[in-house]
Amino acid sequence: MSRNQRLGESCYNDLEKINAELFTLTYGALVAQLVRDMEDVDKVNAKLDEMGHNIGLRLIDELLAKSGIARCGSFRETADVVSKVGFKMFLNTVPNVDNWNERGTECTLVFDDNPLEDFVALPSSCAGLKYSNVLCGVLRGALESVHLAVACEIVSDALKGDPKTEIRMSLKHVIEDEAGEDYRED
Amino acid sequence: MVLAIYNFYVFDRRGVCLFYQEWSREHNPLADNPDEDAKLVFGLLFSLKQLGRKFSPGSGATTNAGDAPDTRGNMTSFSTNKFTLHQYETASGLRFVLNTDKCNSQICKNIQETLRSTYADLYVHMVVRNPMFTPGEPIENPSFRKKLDAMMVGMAKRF
Repeated sequence: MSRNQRLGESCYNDLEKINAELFTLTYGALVAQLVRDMEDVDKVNAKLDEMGHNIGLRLIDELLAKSGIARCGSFRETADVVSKVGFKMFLNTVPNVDNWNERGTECTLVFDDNPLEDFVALPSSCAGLKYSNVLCGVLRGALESVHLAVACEIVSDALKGDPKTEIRMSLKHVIEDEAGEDYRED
Repeated sequence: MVLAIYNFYVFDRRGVCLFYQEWSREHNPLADNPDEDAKLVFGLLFSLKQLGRKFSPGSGATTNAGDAPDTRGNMTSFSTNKFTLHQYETASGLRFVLNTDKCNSQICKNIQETLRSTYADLYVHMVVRNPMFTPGEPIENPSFRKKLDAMMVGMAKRF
């Protein structure tokens, strides 16, 4: 067992848990309501991403505080922590990190098990819906907080007949330390 | 012996002062302008970090595209003749800053641990998990202030 795997296990054990079915159904109710309210699946996808972003901005502090991880040395290490500690802690699932590009800036998270998608079947009217798009937003928000600007996209979706759900995560750039507008010279 | 604690700030990564608490501050030329006071402190810490990065031994160049910004410029405390400033900086860019009486390195270590615990136990539980909190806005939860006060005063009595 690798170090991050052990860390993920111990963080997971220390957290308070809720019933997984309740969680899955609550998320389902939320997506269904968004589809009813917005009527346009593209808008729903964008909304899920935005909601995820807000969640990610908060979750990162929970992860850092509970795991005691100080800073990752490379994007490869970051992806390992995301999968083995982050997803383990909050969703009790560990996606495989695969398909690295040569420069080590892009990878794919492959989900054997995605708790958000249990009990879900998409109606034909929602063919364009990215049901788990909230996860992309969470990744973007959480990594943005630790100075990594990433783009995330669901590239394969078990709900649409693909064998597994996969999220492509690519690092755009490292965000430099910067003080806010109040600190600019007049 | 009781360690004198002066004041405490929480800054976000952009330098917004999320929280301020004062216990004793005999001399404060900026008493009527707390915003300016917070900006001075953050500006100092920000510049010190930049300087630390430039001066620290070892190559500062990141070689791989995905390398995180290095941590060589990180600073945990500094002292003048009169006081010590303690800083705990998180990977998400939050800064927890406490000014105290001048203290030795053992006490500094203890205070680091207390600041870490203000992050892990107080901030995460009472701020991050509070649905009414908007990231980047000042912390207004009164129980955060109360718990923090108890924690800091308790710590000061141990020394």
